[in-house]
Amino acid sequence: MVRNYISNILLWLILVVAIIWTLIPVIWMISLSFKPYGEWRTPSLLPQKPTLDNYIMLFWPKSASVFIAYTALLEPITDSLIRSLIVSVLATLIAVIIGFFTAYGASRYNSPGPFTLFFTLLTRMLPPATFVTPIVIYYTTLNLLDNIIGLVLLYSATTVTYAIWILKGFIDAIPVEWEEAALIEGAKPLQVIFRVVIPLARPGLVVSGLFVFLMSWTELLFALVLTRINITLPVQISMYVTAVGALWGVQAAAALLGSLIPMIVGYLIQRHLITGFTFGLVRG
Amino acid sequence: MPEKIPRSVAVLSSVPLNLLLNGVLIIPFIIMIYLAFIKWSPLMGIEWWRAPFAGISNFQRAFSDSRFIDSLGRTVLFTAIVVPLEFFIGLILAYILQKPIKGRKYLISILIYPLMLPPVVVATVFYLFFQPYGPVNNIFLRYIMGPSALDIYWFLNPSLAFITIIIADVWQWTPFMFLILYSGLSAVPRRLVEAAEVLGASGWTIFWRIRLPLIRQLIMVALILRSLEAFKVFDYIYVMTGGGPGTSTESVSLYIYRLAILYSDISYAAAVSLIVLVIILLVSRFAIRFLLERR
Amino acid sequence: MSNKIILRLENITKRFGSVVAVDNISFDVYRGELFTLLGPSGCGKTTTLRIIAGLESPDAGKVYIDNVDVTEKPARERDVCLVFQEYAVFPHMSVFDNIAFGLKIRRLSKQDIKKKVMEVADLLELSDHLNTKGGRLGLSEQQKVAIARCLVVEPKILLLDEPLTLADARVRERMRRELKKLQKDLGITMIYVTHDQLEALMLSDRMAVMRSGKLIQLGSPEEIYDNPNELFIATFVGSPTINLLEGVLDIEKDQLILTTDARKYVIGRHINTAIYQHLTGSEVILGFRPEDVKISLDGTIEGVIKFIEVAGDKKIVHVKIDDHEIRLLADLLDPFVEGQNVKININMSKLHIFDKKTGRKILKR
Repeated sequence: MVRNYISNILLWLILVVAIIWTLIPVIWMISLSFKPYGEWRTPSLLPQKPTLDNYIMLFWPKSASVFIAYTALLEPITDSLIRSLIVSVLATLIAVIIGFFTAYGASRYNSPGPFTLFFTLLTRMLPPATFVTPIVIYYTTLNLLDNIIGLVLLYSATTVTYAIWILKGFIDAIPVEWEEAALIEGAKPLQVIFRVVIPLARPGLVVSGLFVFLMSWTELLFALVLTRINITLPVQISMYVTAVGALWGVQAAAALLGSLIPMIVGYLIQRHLITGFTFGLVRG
Repeated sequence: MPEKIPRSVAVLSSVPLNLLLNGVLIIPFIIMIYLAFIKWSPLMGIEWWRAPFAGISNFQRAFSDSRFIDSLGRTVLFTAIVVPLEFFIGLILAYILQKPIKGRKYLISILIYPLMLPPVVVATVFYLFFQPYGPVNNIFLRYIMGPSALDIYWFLNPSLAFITIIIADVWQWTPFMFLILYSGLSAVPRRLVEAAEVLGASGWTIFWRIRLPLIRQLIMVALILRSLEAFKVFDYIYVMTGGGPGTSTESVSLYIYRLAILYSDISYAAAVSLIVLVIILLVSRFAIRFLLERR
Repeated sequence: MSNKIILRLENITKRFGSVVAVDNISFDVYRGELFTLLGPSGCGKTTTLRIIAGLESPDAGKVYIDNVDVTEKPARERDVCLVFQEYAVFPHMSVFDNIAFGLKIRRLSKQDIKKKVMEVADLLELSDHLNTKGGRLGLSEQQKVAIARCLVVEPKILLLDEPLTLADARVRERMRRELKKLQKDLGITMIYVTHDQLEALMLSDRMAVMRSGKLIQLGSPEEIYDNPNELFIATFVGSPTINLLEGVLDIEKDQLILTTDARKYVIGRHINTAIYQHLTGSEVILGFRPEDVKISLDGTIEGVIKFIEVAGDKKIVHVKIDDHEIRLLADLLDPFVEGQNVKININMSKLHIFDKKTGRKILKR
């Protein structure tokens, strides 16, 4: 049918445009990361004298020739990378687990009630700038400054609302009858949760987990303020471009490197997204 | 479900959450509220708890602060533009990628890549992008407009600067909408889709009449969450336009940041933040009610 | 192809990975009949149904509906409808909209849609629920909506995948009768999938028994019941289950003898030896249904009544014969008691003889 054909082509076109649109800045970043110091301000797509110097700067700062143009000392990027990984993973675990149980209670038993749920959104409503001073004061007294635990707690607290709201959406869509049937058959509520609900809520767990992970992985403002020595990846990335010296190419390299881990995570979780669960057990 | 909530569920669904939020956020929040009612700045040289009480003077000052009000309006406009834009593009992409295309996993990985970068980095990239020596002028517009393209100064023109911010935000956050919509659509029970198929429904009908209505709640969640974030837009403006030219692209978040960090006017900044918070609270309360009603 | 045949499956095979779910199946379904696919879980009956519906594509073979090759056509282009085991009522739509769904797609006018929906709703007693949201319906209402949804688009074939499995036992009986009545009244061709042999026997005009992806017997319920091709079918179909005795067959004078382990049993006297001649010395499994065995003073086999249970308007008498237990049907008023020594007679004309190794029937009637 012609109508089908035309709409198919149109859709393909949109998809291709979207892919290209997404890739252009990325390609440019990649090219920037291979450009030497002098070419950072040129518009050319490909570097004329491609170099690995930016990447060398990431791991062995003192050996990089671009280091000469930079007056501040900078550590290799591996430390902050690992730190970011630890922080993000821990924050994700905490936020998703707490978020899941909260969402479950809210969905099935209305506890917490809609008021509390709305209240959790408060954590996302506040412009972060003014929260900085109070949290610094608070963490100073708790001795949580420059501390991974401090960041983990802050990140989980500020992202848990994402997990709650997204998971509630997914849990609401699961038919209650299955849990009721299991309960009638004598299963304990916790067993029902683990055997029935969690497998079915997998797309929700995975999506909210991914978002929390990404938000923790890329968070800059509080990390900047709350850490001095134990910096996370975004902080280090931002440090390549400061008032003292702007190492665009190095920053591009750092950002690309830093995006590898989330990329891998994003790719791996996809098989959990395409479940499309079926009612009932599969029969012959 | 049984009337009475089982003990284990009751505990698990409220205790951890309360511990986390109260333990981490309540006290700083109370401190912030306190800061709004005193007259203090770190430049004053005294400890914050010794600073004199200021009553509601900070708040009164905010209501006659035109720079604040302008930034508020601007931010609302920004949000009203980017969120629907991101939603519709995300929806279209989610629809397209529903179909079992070969290499779909790779395509999706590419499409959600923008989410993996810190907003600052995206801001930096687009900053370089829109420079006179950047690719936008030199490569893309050159094809359309010829050499005069080199004279466009994106960041010196208020409207153009505004557009660059929008482009940056849309580039980074459309994948967010896409991902939520896509995962929601995938979670629709296969049986319902098959039931529609045997009744003669086409792919479009299934999408529009079966899948989409079933994820209505999720759509609302996505819109609310994204709107809240869009309202706090900061990184792109800070890096790309610096709020300029002048203060023509200054968002509420940027203004507050300047007050707190640049001018060290912390008390006033806290007051302004609280006002913004209350405004957002009221609007979202209203919006959620409105959206929830249409069941 | 004659006009009588509305569906033809030719050499349909479907694999899932290394598992062959449907193994070279072919059969015809006639216009206006209630055709059942019967078999245990995992035998491939649901997959076959889904292939007919167009939800699965066969790896080999062809599907013809009304003389047209529809093998390549997707579900939406075939003129069939499927009622799912879980009903799959659209939870966000009202009953009316659920039923009207197929009609809206076919672009009928609002009045026509309303008329047709009301007709079917009336027929299935759903008129009071038209405004209820699908998600709030009880199970039997859901089933009705699922059926109504299909009926209203007037498909050539109505497919049902174990529609009564989810229902209450009490309700099942009634629903069965209503379905059969509906089918006869409307004259619509129905293909019904079930693992419940009683249901299949009660409902079908013809039925096909499947096992491990293969079609092992096709015929009317009477044929399947009276003349099972295989041991499996004989035990699967029929309730209470058929009685089985295993051993070596022999003929002595005019008696049919079965030798099992220690014992020799006289199965029947005054037999026509010609029929059984070729079977002497074979290792067999004998099958005889409870209604084909009687307690009689001149019975050929001795045993003791172990247990009597009442089932509806009959009694099931469990008789212990050495190591074997035989079930037979007796009238409610028959004066048997537990512990009583009895002799039983097997109705020779209803005796089934299966080859011990292959399970296939080796005596044709």
